[in-house]
Amino acid sequence: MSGSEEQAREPAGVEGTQLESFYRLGRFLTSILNIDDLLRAILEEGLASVKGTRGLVGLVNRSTGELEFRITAGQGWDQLPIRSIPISHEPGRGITSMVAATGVPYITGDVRRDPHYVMLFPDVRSEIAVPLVNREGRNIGVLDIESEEIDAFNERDLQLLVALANQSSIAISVANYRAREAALIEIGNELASSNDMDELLRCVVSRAAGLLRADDCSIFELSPAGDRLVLRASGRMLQHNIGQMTYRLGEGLTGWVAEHMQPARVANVREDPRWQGLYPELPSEAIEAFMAVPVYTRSGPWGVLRVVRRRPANTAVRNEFTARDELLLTTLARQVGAAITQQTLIERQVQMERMAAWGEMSARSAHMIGNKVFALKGQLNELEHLARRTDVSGEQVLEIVQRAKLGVFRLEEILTEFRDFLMATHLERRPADLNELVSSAVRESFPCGGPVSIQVETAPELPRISGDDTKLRRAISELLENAANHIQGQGRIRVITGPWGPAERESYPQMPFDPAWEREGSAVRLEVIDSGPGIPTENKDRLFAPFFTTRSKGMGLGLSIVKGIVDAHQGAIAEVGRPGEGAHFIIVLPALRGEDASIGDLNVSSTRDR
Amino acid sequence: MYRVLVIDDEEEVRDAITRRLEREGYHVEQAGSQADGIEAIHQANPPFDLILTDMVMEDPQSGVKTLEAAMSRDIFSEVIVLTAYGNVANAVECMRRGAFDYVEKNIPGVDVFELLILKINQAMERRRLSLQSLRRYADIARTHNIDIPSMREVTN
Repeated sequence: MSGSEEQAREPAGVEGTQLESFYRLGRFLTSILNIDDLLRAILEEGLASVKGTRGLVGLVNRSTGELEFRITAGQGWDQLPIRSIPISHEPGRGITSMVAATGVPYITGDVRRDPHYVMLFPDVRSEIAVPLVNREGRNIGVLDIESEEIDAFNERDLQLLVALANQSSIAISVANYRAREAALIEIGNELASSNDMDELLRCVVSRAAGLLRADDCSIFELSPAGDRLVLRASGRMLQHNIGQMTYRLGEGLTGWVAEHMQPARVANVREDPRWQGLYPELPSEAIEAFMAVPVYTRSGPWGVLRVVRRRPANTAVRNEFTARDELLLTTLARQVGAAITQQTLIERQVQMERMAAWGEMSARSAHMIGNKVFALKGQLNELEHLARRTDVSGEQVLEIVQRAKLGVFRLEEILTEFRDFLMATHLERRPADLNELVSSAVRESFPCGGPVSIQVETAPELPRISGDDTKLRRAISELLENAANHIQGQGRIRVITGPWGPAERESYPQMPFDPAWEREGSAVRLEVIDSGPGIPTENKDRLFAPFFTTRSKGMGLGLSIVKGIVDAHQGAIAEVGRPGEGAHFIIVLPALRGEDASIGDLNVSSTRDR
Repeated sequence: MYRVLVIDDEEEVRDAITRRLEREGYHVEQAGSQADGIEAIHQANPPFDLILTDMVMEDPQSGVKTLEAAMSRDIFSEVIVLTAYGNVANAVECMRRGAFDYVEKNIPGVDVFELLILKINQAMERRRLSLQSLRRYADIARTHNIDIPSMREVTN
């Protein structure tokens, strides 16, 4: 701290109290959690030390180019119509504004004769202002103190305030580091537990935009051929171009990053020879800063993560990305890469488990289809025979046609089962409401007035899920049909939806445990309970295996299709009923996580007002 | 009237064959599994003239085992094995052991039922000739007072 050396030359008494207050502030600085409390303490300390009557800690908002009044002390501030002033080094724009622009401390003994002064309060005579400078040498704010006396401040006061300003800067830096660290940890956790690539990428871009004070953040994926970048997610501005916006490799700055797999950090995009202004979030002249970093997965280059900042209306303040910002974006890109790698591995594992069934699947279906076709050929043969005769009644023909039709239906059933089994893990996800899925599945697949009644109990305000609605409806219908098929005569099916949390987990220890579902509202459940005979203990192990069936119809893929669909959604399914008391299926699906994931930067107090 | 046993684990397959054979004038009985089929073969009296069996049922060797049962019941029973298309290795093994022929269930472009009738008629012709020869041998034996116990059943 530059001020402390100077103070050593001061008389012992004064030095003693000041050292004491610095010591107190130092303790405060390391213990305090709320930055405003600390800034207020520093301002009050400053006011007391230099005997000022009014004071201000203003912080630079680089997005607007304004100095915002963060902490004020003394009378009259609450009557002021303004809470910020544009930053400028030109005369007549205010002393704090100038210090924020130049970063040079300023002292004036009589404001009435100062060309920079702008009157906010009529009683001010002296003013002293020192910049808050961060570790990168950027002005992040101003500590300003006023007095009603002429020539109230001297060089010693200035040095004292510089020391206090340095304390403030350090505190702000520490708070920013803490906020960034917390945000990074949070993003890391989210990425690690994410179950849907699109959701994962959406989460990253919105977090990154908040963390880097960027006006937009977007992520591009290399096409399988590696010759194109395709937009996968955008924080806000490019949301309507997802999947459509593409860059050739090497095209524009983003294409350059993909081609060289090196970061690019540019303050003046229009002066950069790589810039082509092809698909910017903003017009080239409105872009203040651009930064893009490559994303790698374990299998190599994956894509590009990029951020842009809008040019502030007040061009006196620069808003370019710093080396620290680049490090942060690179860190995020690494986390994204790791999350994508993990996601790919999980998908591959689900795929492989199903591939194991593929061999048996082909043999069985070939056998079944062969037999059905054989029988159909028999019926055609018979029809042909009848057609050659003259003494045949229409009824005889119709009877054969009826059987042939049944055969064709069976073939179609096999085909559907086959296709559903194969496609169970290929999802087209969209935000979906489990309750709606349940009601439409019940409507579609459950005839009214049969011997089996159905009772639907849906929980209100259930978190939404990210899912393939067609597949999930198929899974629910399959469970309903399965239940109905096992009820002999009169019976009842209950369908229940609700949240899934630690309490439910305790009630059903059979369900697989997933730490991602421990948080309140992180997962939902669907239960299908029937009044049938239940699942015998010896069948429970094989219940979800392909080709396991106790009925002669179909290939016995029904429940394995349901499991495939649930697995692909990173959910879980189990049968928890007691044999003899009816079957009880539970499906747990992870809930969609919130997208409002913006983390404010402490430098920018104005995010509250925007 | 020739008696035929149709063994297949698919009801639709059994029914289709049964109807076609009945049209042709055969007396047809059915069995839905290898075990039921072998049981029926052992119980039959007189033995079946023809056994039509699926190659693969609960056991990949269903065809071979059914063939063995049929041969042990009546050495002159004719056996035709039904196979899945393109799966003839086991069928060839059956023929080596005495099956009359094999028919693939799904041959593209072929009316398999006409093919089946053709093969069955041929098989019945062979059985007729076999039994005719046997009777002739039996007659000769009787004339010359030679007792061949195993021929008693077929010639009675």
